[in-house]
Amino acid sequence: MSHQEKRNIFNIAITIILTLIYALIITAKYQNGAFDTTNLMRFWSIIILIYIPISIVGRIISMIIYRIVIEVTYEVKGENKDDLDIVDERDKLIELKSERLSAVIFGVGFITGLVTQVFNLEVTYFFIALVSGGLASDIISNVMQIIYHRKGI
Amino acid sequence: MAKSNVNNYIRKLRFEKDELTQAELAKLVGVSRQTIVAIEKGQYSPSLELAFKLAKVFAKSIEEIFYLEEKH
Repeated sequence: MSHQEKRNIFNIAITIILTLIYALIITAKYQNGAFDTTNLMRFWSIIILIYIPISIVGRIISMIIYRIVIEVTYEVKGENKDDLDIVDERDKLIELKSERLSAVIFGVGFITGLVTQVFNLEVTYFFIALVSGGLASDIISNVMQIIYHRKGI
Repeated sequence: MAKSNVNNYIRKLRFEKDELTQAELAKLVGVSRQTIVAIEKGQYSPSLELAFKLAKVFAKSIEEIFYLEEKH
């Protein structure tokens, strides 16, 4: 398995773990009555606005930890570390292709959210569709990168 | 994933050039070893720039390294 594939698997794991932890914390707080849910639009906006910086910081920290672990592993195994820093034309092409798919999936999530509002469903459904689209786009983008790395583009 | 129509003699040329390893060739042309592996397997068609770099390493013309596989 190449280090790009390992990084993609790690990204998927981090996305799922961060989202799960955040969802569990928010659910616990919600059940304790820590949020004012009379205005659902405001409630969901706060949840998402808090999640964005948490997600960014969480990813930065996890990538630093990943890099340290992978460097130590390569050192112990005596493997060539040159490839770790190389991002070549094939990697960029794979990234572009998977990001295009990622944008499409996020778009589908957003449109689904809008459709829920057309049918007068609660605003919660709009945000669930939006968050699901975001989560799915991130995971599928990484899965596609693994597939492209393994089977070619 | 469809295989590229562009195939090559890189594997053969590596062995002719003092059994150059994939990692060594990758370093010479500035890409990862995985990219060389993908090119050799015909899973990836390199850019013109990379094709020229490979041609320079093997001191051959691009046509002597890459060829278009005719599909009927």
